[in-house]
Amino acid sequence: MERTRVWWRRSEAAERAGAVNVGDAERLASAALGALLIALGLRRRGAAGAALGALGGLAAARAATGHSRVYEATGVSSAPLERGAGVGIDESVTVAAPVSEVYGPWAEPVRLPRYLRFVRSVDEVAPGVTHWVVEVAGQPLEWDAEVIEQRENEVVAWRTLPGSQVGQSGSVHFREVAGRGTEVRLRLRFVPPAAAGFAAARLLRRLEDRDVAEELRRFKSIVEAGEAPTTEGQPSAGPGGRERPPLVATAPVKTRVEPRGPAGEG
Amino acid sequence: MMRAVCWHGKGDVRVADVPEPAIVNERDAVIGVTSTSICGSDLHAYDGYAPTMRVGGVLGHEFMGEVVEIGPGVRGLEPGDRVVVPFDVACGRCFFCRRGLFSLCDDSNPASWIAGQTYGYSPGGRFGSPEALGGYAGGQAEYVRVPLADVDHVKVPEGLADDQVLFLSDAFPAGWQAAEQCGIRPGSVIAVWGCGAVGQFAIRSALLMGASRVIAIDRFGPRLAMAEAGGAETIDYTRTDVREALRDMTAGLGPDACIDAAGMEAHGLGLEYAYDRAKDAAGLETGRPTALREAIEACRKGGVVSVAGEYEGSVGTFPMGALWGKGLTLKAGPTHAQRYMRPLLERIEGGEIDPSFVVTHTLPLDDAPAAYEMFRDKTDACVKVVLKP
Repeated sequence: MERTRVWWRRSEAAERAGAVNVGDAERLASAALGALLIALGLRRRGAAGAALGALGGLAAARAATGHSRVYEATGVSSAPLERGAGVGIDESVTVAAPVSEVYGPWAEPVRLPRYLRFVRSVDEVAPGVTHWVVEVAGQPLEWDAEVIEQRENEVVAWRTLPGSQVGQSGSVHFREVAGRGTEVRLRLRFVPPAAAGFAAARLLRRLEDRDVAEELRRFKSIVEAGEAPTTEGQPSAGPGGRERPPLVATAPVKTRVEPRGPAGEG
Repeated sequence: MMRAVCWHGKGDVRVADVPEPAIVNERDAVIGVTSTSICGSDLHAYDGYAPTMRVGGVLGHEFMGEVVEIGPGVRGLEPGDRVVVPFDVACGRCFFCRRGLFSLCDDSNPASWIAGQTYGYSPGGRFGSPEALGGYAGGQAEYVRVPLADVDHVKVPEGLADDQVLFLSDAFPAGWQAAEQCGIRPGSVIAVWGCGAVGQFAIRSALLMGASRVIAIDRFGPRLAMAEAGGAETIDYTRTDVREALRDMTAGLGPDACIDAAGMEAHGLGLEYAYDRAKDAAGLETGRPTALREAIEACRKGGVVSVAGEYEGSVGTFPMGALWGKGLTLKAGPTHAQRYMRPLLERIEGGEIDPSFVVTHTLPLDDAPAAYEMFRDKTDACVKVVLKP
């Protein structure tokens, strides 16, 4: 898998250094902690008191400015998404198959749930209009989408219709490269509409680029190997371990396997 | 329920009753295991060198047995077939498998994101491995689910004993690949660090490929004796300075290629080894490159260093200057067992080699905890343990 460019956008403003990246609840907590530490620092004398006071000052500054340098350095934010701000994720993968085999499921999105775990269902509700149920962090998000651009073996692009729970647009571009396979570049843009409020926005914040990368990897495995290899449900004498929880707990896919010649050819 | 050897922590393996595996995906098969071995890379888990090992996970990746069940997508395999299963899980269809790089399969590691973060891209899945290498339940058990079984097997004829074909799974192809990477020509002199099973097969493979001399390096007498029986000259590094000895034995030119069949838990001597051990114990490193360092330093100019022993993470004091200054070629990596299993089976059938020479102990599966201890400590002249479920 080749990851090209990934970003997680709240708004243009939020990407600037020093922007607000601490949520309101955390700012209140920081203020309280800062006040407590400063008070403790004033009651004690000497270096310990000064240190406590300084820590308190940092917490207070975090509360007052709503900005955390640690969060900025680590790319974390607990600030709410601003109105109109969106989430953008770009991921790509190279699939070792001719473009015709890779393009198909995207041209007929009703086939996508077999390949992508977070797509729970896609139904054609009217000519050219599909109803999507997607699961993010265990919660469903729904929208109706229309195709706005489609060229066989090149591109499929879509956007949501007005009135959807989230505004979503996306595209997937295909390019067959001799000797390498078919490059698939997926571009997703989510915009929570003002009316839907923060619930959808909070959900979208939990959609990580790596989740999308894993979905594309799964797509690639099913196209190439005919199935997505798994260790789910295998024998063990222990509680398991630190396996990353799946986005959606689904039964393992069972797919028909087309024989494709002997191993190691080509 | 079935009996299986499970990992519970450093130095702690237990034989437990665990659920039997079932067909999950269409290309799966379930194998009833008749023979399985303990490999040096099982020791990495046993010694705590395998981060992301799952507590309770079933160990073992070198195994063979009888097919008892196949998924609907499996072609060319029937219940009742006697098969050896390669240690590396491979799909046979991705970019890498199509180039014969089976152990780098792009689709067989369900947790490829872990190694992807540290290595950039992840190797394929393995049986009995830490989760970072797929974490598939392993072969030291009565039954194993073999994913992608249509690609990942070699059928073996009844006329050959288990001990003759079991090592087609890993150790024999590993030694063969290590030797193949040396670019052996008539007259080549090859030095091999580590006389465990992989080193033993590397010695014999190099001679089969036409090397005129193989010089084997270890500290354990029985292993050196086994190497000599296979046609190698030997150096006991506890008695002789290896670089001096190799220089002398090659009349000053040096070996054409050096094989590191020891890996990240190499033993050694002297100050550098003490330094490695200390850094290793302090958690600053993920191994001790004692053998690799010596191999690079001992190799003749313009030669090849072929690394079959396993490494992970980072190692320090790597002699980059010697590698660069002498114009060496470094070849490393896990074994593409699927590439070699069938041709090597033909060599076994043809009587060119009988891999059963490497087996020093055959024990019931229930004796696994003691067998691990013996194998780690190299007691009782142990080179290779075969477990019988």
